[in-house]
Amino acid sequence: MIVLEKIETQSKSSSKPKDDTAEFVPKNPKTVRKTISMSPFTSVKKDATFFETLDSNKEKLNNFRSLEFNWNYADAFPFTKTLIDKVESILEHLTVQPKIFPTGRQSIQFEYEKSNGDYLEFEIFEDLVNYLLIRKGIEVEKQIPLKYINFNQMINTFYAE
Amino acid sequence: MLNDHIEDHEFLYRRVILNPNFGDFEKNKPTSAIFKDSNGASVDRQHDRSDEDVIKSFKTLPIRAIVKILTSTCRELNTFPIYKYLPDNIYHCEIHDSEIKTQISSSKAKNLRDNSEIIYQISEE
Repeated sequence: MIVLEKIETQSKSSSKPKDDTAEFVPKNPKTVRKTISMSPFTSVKKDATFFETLDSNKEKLNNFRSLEFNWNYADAFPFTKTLIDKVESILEHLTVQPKIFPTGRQSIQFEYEKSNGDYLEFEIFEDLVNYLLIRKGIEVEKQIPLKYINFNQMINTFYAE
Repeated sequence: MLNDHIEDHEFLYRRVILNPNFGDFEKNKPTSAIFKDSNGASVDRQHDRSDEDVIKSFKTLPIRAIVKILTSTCRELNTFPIYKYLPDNIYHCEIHDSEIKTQISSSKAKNLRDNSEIIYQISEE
């Protein structure tokens, strides 16, 4: 049995973890800290520095909805409702919440990074995903249709090693 | 208008805007997402200015941070910095993926991020 420190949000919102693999959020000021025992499976995240919550990611995503043309002062277009809705749906089903960022080319980026430099990134467009995986110094970058990608499989594999 | 050729020793500066929130900078690095624009990555060249001069010019807009990267580093990373002055900004440049491709790949954007330096930032709170 592995003991990790888990942070639980005070709210009883819809972001309640679907399983014990989510919600390790040491930097959220609205959190209560406690120590819990976890199954060996959850040790996949022991290498991460911290994780976002679904609530905080949804809040960011909602902010993206209101961005207007030139929001980055570099002529970026607004995000489409279709993209934001798709990203929200993806987030709701992820086993580990990523850091999310807007790009200036109408895509939304998910990032996961380990302390050893391993890195997993998904850049999500309306119908496509660019993913970048860097593991042990080896880079793989691919573009695949959104409907064919299995986010959780890639995320779990990333943290399992 | 300045000389078309961006010198290797010139820094290129990118602003990180205040809204939306780009969060904490992991390992004191920005996200690679800031280098992903439709037209490559929009940056300002240093020319004969100091970091302080650039910071002052960028602070006319609400910014969270400013990062810089050497032009020579951009070239070593096989990206293609190009001078594209604007009527209201003679320092404006773009970093393209290559001479023939504008938008920067995820891998190159990550490399730019890893090799950039934050020279100014305000706290998240």
